[in-house]
Formats: sequence, structure tokens, C-alpha cells
Amino acid sequence: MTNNSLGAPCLRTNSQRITARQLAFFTAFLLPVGKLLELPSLLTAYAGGDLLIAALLGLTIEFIPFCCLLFLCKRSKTAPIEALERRCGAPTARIFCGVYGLFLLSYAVLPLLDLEKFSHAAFSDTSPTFFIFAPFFVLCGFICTKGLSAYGRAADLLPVLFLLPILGLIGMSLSEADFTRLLPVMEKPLTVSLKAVWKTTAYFSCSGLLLPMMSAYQYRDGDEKKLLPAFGVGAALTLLFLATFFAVFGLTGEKEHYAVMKLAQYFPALKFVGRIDLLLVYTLSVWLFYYTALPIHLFTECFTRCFSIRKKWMIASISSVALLLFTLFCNKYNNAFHAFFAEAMPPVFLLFSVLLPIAFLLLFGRKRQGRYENNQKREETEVHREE
Amino acid sequence: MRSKKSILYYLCILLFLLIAFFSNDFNLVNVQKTAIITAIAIDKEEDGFSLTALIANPASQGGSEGGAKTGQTADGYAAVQGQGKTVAEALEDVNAKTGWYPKLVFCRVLLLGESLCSGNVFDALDYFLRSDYAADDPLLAATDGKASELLQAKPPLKAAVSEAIEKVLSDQPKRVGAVLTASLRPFAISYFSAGNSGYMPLIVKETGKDGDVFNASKTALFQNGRRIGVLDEKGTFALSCIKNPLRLAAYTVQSQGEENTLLIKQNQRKLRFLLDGDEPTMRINLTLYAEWTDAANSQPLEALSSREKQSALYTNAGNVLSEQIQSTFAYCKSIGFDAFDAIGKLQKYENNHFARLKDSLVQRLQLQITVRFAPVR
Repeated sequence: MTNNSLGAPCLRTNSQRITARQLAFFTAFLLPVGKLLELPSLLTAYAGGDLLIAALLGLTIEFIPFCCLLFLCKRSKTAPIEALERRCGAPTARIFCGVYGLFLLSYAVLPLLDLEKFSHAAFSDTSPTFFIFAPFFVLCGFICTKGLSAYGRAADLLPVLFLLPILGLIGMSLSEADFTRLLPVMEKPLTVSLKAVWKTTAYFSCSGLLLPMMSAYQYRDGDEKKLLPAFGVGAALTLLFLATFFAVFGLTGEKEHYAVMKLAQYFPALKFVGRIDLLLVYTLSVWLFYYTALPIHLFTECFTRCFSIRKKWMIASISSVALLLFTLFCNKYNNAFHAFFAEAMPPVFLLFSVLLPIAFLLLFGRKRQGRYENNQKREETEVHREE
Repeated sequence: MRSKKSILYYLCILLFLLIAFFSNDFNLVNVQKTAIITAIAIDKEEDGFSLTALIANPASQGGSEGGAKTGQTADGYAAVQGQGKTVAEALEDVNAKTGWYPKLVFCRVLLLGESLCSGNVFDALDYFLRSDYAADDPLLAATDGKASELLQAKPPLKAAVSEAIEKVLSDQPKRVGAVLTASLRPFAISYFSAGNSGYMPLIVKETGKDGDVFNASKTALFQNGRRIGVLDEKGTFALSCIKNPLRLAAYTVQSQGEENTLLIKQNQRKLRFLLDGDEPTMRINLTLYAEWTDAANSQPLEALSSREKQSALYTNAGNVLSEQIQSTFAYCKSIGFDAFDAIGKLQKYENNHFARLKDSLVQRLQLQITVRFAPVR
């Protein structure tokens, strides 16, 4: 943690930046990971055969704040939280970080509960003890002590280690897929799809993760040419996955939890060689761990900044242990949490992941001038010199 | 990590988690102490379900467990019966009686008794669709009478009943058109689709000198999860030609006064749903590539290469199969069974008319079929 040009603590140091390439990989391949477990069955339950329409609406809702954040970085040449700090002062930025940290903590709940159930189903034939999952929190705590650039470095591995398993699983499921099951398109009124998106807002709020993530990213001219198509690739992969899921399971997909684990299980050769498709699932699990740790990591960053705590490992340890205990005692209320996030939380998610980025763009999206611009130029020169 | 203390804290947490992690059994299974369900038979009773599980247990060769109603079958297998208001409760009853708590993920066969099929079979099948600890694609078969009786059969060669049934319901009889196999997932998909029609083999036990064998060449037809009719062997083959890709299927037909067998190597199926006004039609073009493989009487060499004789045989075979398909279609229509998923096609391709026509579609549907046998090139 270093101070920025105005003397306030900053999420980013010069050696802890995420490049546009890494952010593009992150957007294209890590953000869709959160949509591979429960979302397909939930969308099937809420929208039936129109799940692709619902997903398209959800991805559009994600795309708008993504564009806002990117445009904000382009216009103001600074990260969103830094822009807030410069305009409203350090105390406001700290309060904002604290509140945003709480949102990130709530964001972590569903991925965490889903991952716990998924890991039990994917790695065991029977119901194992909770502690099979507990080492995740050690990994999570470790990740949280690292800078945001760790995600950037991990993102460089994503094109191979995400694309290979996901395309492999989709390819293996094609023998059982009947894509005509998706017909007719728009069979139900649009309100059904909108309602489905509303109830699954928690899964279409990835832009909420990008707002603090952008603090480690420095915009350079032309970056949007990488980042906008990257979002498109991620969206296309999500839609392809959902389409294949419905083509394989049809309306029974409502009952098929942890889609990624079940998609390829009917591949004819598996009857003879066993479930080798699980090797691909296990590879994807690595990214599921990373994805689940991301909001906890960002929460750590926000709280560290909010309270100006220099010992980040303390927040990381406390949050990891607290979440371990939360998962240990609350995993039996999985359905209740899902119902709560579907009924009561959508406004909160929309506020933080959609309205807030739009508000940031409107408030801080003007071109910077004078002292701030000079400071920024100085920062950029330092970065160039280091590189 | 900023200090030495932090390493210490982390080591403590790590130590705690390692102790917790290594204190469980890692899901390792002691083969001698576990049991695996390989087949399940479900019957409906007045006050719930009767579930018979065929359990494989390496340690169970000596005899049945005390207190449980069991029937010993092949070596290492026992048929254990449980009762319950729901299938899950009946399964728990089996678990409680044996104390084995057998694994369900290896269950490959589900037999549904006549009493169960007279109501909605998904009263029982829902459990297998929902459970994360059950294989969700076991083979399905309906039975006449009690399903549990089949698990008491004694197949020849000391094979386990589940293995013998699985062989009869496997892909091989499906490829030759002898059995219209069904597994849970596609059956459930058809149940939840617009047509609500599905099918599964009707399996019967035939007792012979060497033991019991199984025959699944008839097909039970389901509408809204309820058994509404049965196709005979010819009907099963006729529907197989339309539904499944055939490989090396033998088809015997009479031509010029004697029985001849054609070996079907491939079947090309083209189904098209047409709606002319309110008149729905299913147009089917079926081409079967086959070779003349046998006749009831020995044939001279000239006959084998005689184009006229072969042409007459192929034409006759096409006509006979076309009649079989039409009579099968007529039977399905008479009982209200949507044999060719016409309602699903109406929903997908003519959705504007779906609400208006879906209820009367099966009764109004006309069939235009062209069946052609062609020699293998």
C-alpha cells in the first residue's frame, strides 16, 4: 500500500498494475466462471426455454456499467475510486470503500455457498465432511494478502487453462445436445425473462467487481479495442455454455445443479474409460476458487483502505476465518440464502454494480485538467521508466 | 506477509485445518465394508412405495442380514426390500434394515412395476432426478405385475440379475431395432416437453431350463407419466426405424412365397412436420440400406445376383415396413400417444398455432410415409 499523489492511501502501486491485456483475459475468461454452477439451472427454472434471452438481458445489464467504467478511466485518466477521492476528498473515499467492502462481502456469499456444495458433489460420491472444503479458506487468505496484480498474472494463464476445459466439456456434450430444444425463441413474454434476470441479479453483477479492480488498471489509448471485444468473448462463451446446457437437459435442467460438472457426463466413451471429463472439471475448479476468492480479496483491499490498515494479512486472516465459520454454520441454509438473494437483494446489487458505475461516469467522467493531469502524467512517466 | 508473527498465525491456522482435514476418511471406500445398489425395482402400494434394491456386497455371500426381508440372488448380491411413503423413505428403510447405506451412484437399472405405471411414474422417478447422489441416467424398463419379482430371477451362467437386464436394455439391441431403450434423462425430457409422451421397454421374465432370461422386445407407451399402451415386437421395430439409427438389423420379409432376411446397415430418416391450414401432416422419408443376407431355402448362385429377384424383394420389404409403420402410427393415434413428437415440432416451428392446435393435434395428424429399401453400394 502506497500513498497517491494527494497523499491518501492508494490501492495501486506502480509495480502492482494490471495491464489491459490481463484485464481483457480477466473479463473474457474469469468473469464467466461465476455463471457456470447454479445460474443455468436457475435460469431454466425462471425462464425455461427462453434462458438465452434472459442471459442476453443480464449480460447487457453487465455490459453497460462495464462500458461506463472503461469510459470513466478513458476520460478522467484515473481509476474510479481515485476519481472519487480527488473530487470528494479522502474521508469520503474511505467511507465509500467501507460501504463497498460490505457489498463485496455480500457478493461473496452465493459463490461461496455454491462452490462448497459443488466441491462436495464433484470431488466425492457421498456427502463428505465440511473440512474437505476448509483448505479453500487457506488459499483464499493467501490470495487476499497479495496485490490485485496477482489476478492479472493469473489471468495470463486463463486463455489456455479456461478455454481448453470449457470447450472440451462443451465438445463432449454435443453428442447428446439437441439445440432445437431452444425453440421457439421468445415463446414466453419478455417480462418472464426480465423477472428471471431480476431474480438472478447476483450472478449478473460482475461489474461490481470491476469498480475496485480498476484501481489496479491504468488506461492507455486504444485499450477499449481490447476490452470491449473481451467482454463480448466472455458473453459469447456464457451464452454457448447455457445453450449447450439447455440442449442437453431441456426443462429438466431446472433440477441439474452444478451444470459444469454434469454437462459432459453422457459422452459415450465415458462408459468405458470412466469420468475423465472430471479432469476438465477439476481444471475449471481452479478458476472457480480464484473467482470465489475475488470478492473477498477486493473486500480486504477496500477495508484496508477504509481503515488505513497497513497489515493487510490481518484483514485477510479475519475475513477468511469468519467466512469459514459462516460457511460451516450456514451452508445448511443454502436454499434460504438463494431465496433471500433472489427476492430481497436484487436492488442492492443493481445499485452497486449498475447504478454506481453510471453515477461515477456522470459525476467524474469529465476530462481532467491542470494539477491533476500533471500529476497523472508524472505517474505515467514513472511507470514507463520502470517498465 | 509483513511480520514473523503473521507466519506464525498462518501456521497455526494451517495446522488446525490440516488436523481437521486429515481427521476424515477422504471418502475412501473399504470394498469389503460397503455395498452398491446395481438395480432398483419400484412398486406402488396402497400406502406408499415398495422398493427392492439389488445390492452387491462382497461380504454378503453367506446369507441375508437379520431382520431384513431379503432374497439371495447371484453370489454377492442380495435383493432387499423397503417400504415408505416416498421413494426416499423406502430407500432409507433399505438402509436401516441392512445397515450398509449402499451407494446409489452405480445403479444402472430402474424397473417400474405395473401398479406404479398405472399412475404417474414421476411420483417415484422425481427422486432420482433430484438426488445428487444417484446416477441420473439409469436405464428404465416397465414390467407386467410386480417389478420386484424380476430381481428374484436366476439368470443362466450365474450372472447377476442387474447385469442380465442391463445387457437386454443395452445399446446393442437398440441398434438392431429389437428394443426401444430408454434412460431416465431423455424420458424425463419428453415428460416435461409439450407432448408429455415417452416410452420405455416392457421387460418380461421367461423361465427356461437353464434359468431365467429377459425379453424386452415390447414397448410400453406413456402419456403424462402414465402407461397408456403397449407396442408389440413389430411395432417396436417400426418405431425403432424412425427413432434410432440402426446398424446390422435383421429384417425378415416374405417375398415370392418364401421368407428372406435383409440385413439393414443404415437407415436414413427425414421427418418433416407440415401445417396446411389446420391440417397437420408428418412427412417421413425412410431409406434403409440393406443387403440380402439369408433366405429360408438355399438359393442357387444365379438367384443371389438376380436383379429382378432382389428388386422385388426390396420393393416388397419397403411396402411391408411402410404398412407396419402406418399401423403402429394408427395404434398410437388411437390411444393419444404422440409417437413422432408432433406436438413438440408444432411448438418449435409453428408456435403461432400451438395454443390452438396442441390438444387436438395427435388426433388430426396425418402421416405421409415413403419407405425405400436400397442395396448397399
